[in-house]
Amino acid sequence: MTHDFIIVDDDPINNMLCQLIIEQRFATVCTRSFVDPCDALAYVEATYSNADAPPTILFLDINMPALTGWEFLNVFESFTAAIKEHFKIYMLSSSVDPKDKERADTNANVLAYIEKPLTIESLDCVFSRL
Amino acid sequence: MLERIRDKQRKTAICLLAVFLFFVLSATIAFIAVRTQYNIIFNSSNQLSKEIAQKLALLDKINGCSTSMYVVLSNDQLNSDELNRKSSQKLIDSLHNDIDQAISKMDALIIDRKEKLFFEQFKAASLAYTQFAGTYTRVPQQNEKLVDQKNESDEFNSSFAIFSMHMQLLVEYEHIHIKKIANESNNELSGMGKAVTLILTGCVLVSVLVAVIAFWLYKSLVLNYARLEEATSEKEKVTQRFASILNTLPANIALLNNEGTIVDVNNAWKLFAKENGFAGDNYGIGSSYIRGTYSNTPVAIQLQKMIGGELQQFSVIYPCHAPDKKRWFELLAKRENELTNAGIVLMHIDITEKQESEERIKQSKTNLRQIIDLVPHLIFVKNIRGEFILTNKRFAELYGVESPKTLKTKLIMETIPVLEQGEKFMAEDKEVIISGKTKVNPEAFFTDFTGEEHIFHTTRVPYYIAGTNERAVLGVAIEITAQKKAEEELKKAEANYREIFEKASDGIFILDIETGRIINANQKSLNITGYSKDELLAAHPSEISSLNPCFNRNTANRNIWMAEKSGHNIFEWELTKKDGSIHWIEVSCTIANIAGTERIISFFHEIDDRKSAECALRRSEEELRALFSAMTEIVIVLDAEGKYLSIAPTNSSNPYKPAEAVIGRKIQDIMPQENAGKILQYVELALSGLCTVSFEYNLCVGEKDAWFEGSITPLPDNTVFWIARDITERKMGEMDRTKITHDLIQRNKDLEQFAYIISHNLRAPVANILGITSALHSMQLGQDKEKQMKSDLKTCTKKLDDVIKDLNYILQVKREVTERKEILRFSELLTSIQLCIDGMIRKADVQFITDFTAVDEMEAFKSYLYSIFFNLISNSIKYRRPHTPPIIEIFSRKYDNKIELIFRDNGLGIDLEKKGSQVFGLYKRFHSHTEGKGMGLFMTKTQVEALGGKISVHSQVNHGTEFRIEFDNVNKMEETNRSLQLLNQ
Repeated sequence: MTHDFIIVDDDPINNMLCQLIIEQRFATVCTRSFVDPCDALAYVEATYSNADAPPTILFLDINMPALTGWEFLNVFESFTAAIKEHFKIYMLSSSVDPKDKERADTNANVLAYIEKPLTIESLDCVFSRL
Repeated sequence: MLERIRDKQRKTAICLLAVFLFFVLSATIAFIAVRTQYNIIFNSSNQLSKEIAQKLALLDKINGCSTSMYVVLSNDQLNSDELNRKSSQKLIDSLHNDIDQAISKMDALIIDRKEKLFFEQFKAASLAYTQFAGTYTRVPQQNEKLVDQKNESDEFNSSFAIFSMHMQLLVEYEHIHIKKIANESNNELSGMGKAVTLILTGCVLVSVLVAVIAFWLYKSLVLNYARLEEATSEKEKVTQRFASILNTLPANIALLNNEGTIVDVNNAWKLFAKENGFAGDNYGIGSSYIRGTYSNTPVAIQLQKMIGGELQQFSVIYPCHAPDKKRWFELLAKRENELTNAGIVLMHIDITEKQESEERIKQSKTNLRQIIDLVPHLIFVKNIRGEFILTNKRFAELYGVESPKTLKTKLIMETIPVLEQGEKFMAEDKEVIISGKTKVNPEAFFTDFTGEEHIFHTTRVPYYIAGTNERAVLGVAIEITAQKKAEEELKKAEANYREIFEKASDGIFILDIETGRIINANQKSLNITGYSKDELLAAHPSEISSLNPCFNRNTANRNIWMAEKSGHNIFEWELTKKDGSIHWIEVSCTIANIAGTERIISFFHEIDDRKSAECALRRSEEELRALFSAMTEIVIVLDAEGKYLSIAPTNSSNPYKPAEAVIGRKIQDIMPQENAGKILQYVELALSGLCTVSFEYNLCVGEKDAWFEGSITPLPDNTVFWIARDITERKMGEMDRTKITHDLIQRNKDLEQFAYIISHNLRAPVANILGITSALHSMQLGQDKEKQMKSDLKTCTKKLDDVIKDLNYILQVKREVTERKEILRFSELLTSIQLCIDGMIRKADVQFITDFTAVDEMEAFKSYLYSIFFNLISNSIKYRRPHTPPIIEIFSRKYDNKIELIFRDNGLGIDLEKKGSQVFGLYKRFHSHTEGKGMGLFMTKTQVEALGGKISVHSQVNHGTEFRIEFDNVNKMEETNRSLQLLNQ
């Protein structure tokens, strides 16, 4: 089963690294990255209202200017079920604040919290859980 | 009458004159008419005669011409020469013409038919003749021969003869005619003359006759008139006398005719009318007494009856008050002559005086009667038989009859309620009547009809009944029942008071107010003092001074209570008894009026028992007072409803309200509703549970907030004992501690957060480095990619270094403080910053509005304050709204020992609803379009706090942001600094 990937993080280096890892693991997969979470939300809303959009894994950073990862999720929550069912969201952050992990566990839209950096192992772990 | 006669005479005379004139006139007219007719006839006959004479003249002329013609022609025949003939021809033609003219003239004059007939014949004869004459004179032609000359001449002669005959006939006729006309006119004229004579004669005769009759009539009338004149003057005299009599009468008299209309009035009436302003046009003469305004009045009705013959006379008395005085009138109405149905005489007689005197008599009678009736005593007049001649109202009342009238002429024995009393009264009456002397009964008993007893003081005097000389008795009885009863009551009361005085449980002295001597003393007083009554009464005031304080108190005091004289003055007094023993008494002194003299009355009783109890009580109270004064708590007794019953005099330093202001009032009226309600609940709890309830509460005492610890303990009589202790200090300390703890916890949390953030920011580049190195290490990457990765690695390392540097900077700020505080000027600080970022300011076209007039300087670390100003200003410029030139307002305020700095811009603003909690967070950024680490506001906050201040933010997206920095007073600042330092260590 193939998935598309979307990465939302204000750190372009991280985005580049993630993309690299994903491409390394799944050669043919489609990966998109957004530095501005607002652009990411706009893209999601515009593209995924279509029923035949591909299932997608979204890696979301927490600390971003303008819109934090949690605020991103609040907006995402307001989307229609048709959009939401395409997504599996993972928080990808360097935060070591236990509160952030707690929040990730309790949020219904988030599947898990992944600590940076993203590695092939952690990616496999994600897929093994699917 | 006279007038009528005179009138008739005049009318008759006029009639007669008119008849006479009529006849004279008609005679004249007839005469003139006849005369005119006569003239006409005369003239016409004259005319006719003239015409006929004319006609005759014309006929003469014709005859002359014709004759001349005949002569001429007769001559012509003879000579017949031509010349002659021609001249004769001419002559004949002229004659012929004359004849024709005369005939035509004649023709115009012919009127008569017969005459015309004759004239036609004459004309024809004349025409035939003249024609013949014409032909005859004609000159014969040359060849003609005068044959038949002879014949012609004959013929001519005969025609002339015919003509002459007709001529003759006509003339004759005219003569006859003229004669006839003369005859006719003569006849007519003579007839007419006869008629005229007849008429004239008739007229004269009638005139004479009429004149005779008129004279006779006039004669008789004049005679009559004279007689009448005489009679009239006689009547006038009578009338004048009658009128003068009428006018001299003082009554107001009006004469009415049978229709009720006023015909005449007298002078008195007129005068009265004038005086009272109703004289009107004619004093009412001509107006009706029974119609109009007077109809339906009683007088009018009576008058109508008189007019109708039902009444012959009547009189009415009526008031007619003038504004200034009362008047009465009597109206008398009477027929002028009772036998005939003559008019009515109305007489108004002023009877005011009579009426007034009658009224006066009536009034004085009424007054007298009223006096008699109103007197509360009994007044009676009785004769020897016991018959009531006069009684008054009170008398009648007691006899149970309606009015004194009912009693009149009744016998006393028939009317008196108790017969025995009646006999007694009769006997007393008789005595007075017989003896003729006044008698007084000072106490007569009488039982009235209801059975009630009365006592009277009766005086009887002999009396003669007015007009009869009958002897009687007049009595006046004055009721003395009440006095008698009062006397009895008084006697009884006296006895009672004596009894009370003697049996009183208190000792009583009555003292003379001047001397201080005892005037009277009761039994008890003797028992208490141990002296006998005689001893006391005989004792000199100085001897008994130890017995009673009422008189021998020091003079000043005595004067005061004597001056007041109000009720009792009570003293406690140590009494030395006769046996020398000393006892406590309570003495009450008062001043009373006894039998008209002011006395001091002194009541006293022994109080030895009470005195000792009181002493004990006072001792215990003193102990309690000492106890209370040692207490600092507030001690209050409340009843179940929350009413303040008492407040113990404890030494509380913080009373909510003074005791006198709250005693007797309810807690709800004194404390704020909230507290009162709570305390009432505790009171209820304590009373229902019968246990002590403890609680804490705060109150505003004066301007301060005070805390109390209260305990409420139930007392047996459903009241409670409420002890309140001021615990404000302790409470404040507690609160301070709580606050410090809270602050510490908050700072701890902040630090924890700081640590997480730092670790996050440290980890982010580390993670990247890890990722990149692992990628470089394990993946097969292209050349470019590898190069890119290495450059990224460098960036990450640099970032890591930055974070560590930041951390160092932050920690430096936080721990401080090598720098020394100095006095800084805000305006100077701002100027140096403006210089520093001049390029940026110019580029963004920034406008500054500053006001540091309130306060321009404070003591602070220069680098911190500079950094605060710099960060806030540069933020305002960085996060300005596109296309809107930034305006930055900075101003200072000072209040309550605080300095406040306000930075306000018109920039993008921050959505505080969403990001409010993170504004001052480390590495928190809200705008991605400009560079920034998210350090500025964090550092600003840290620095503000390091200076002992607080920073707060207000903002609205797209309107601007306002930062308020508040610095407390210096002492506190230093304190905070110290605590910060402590924390950081």
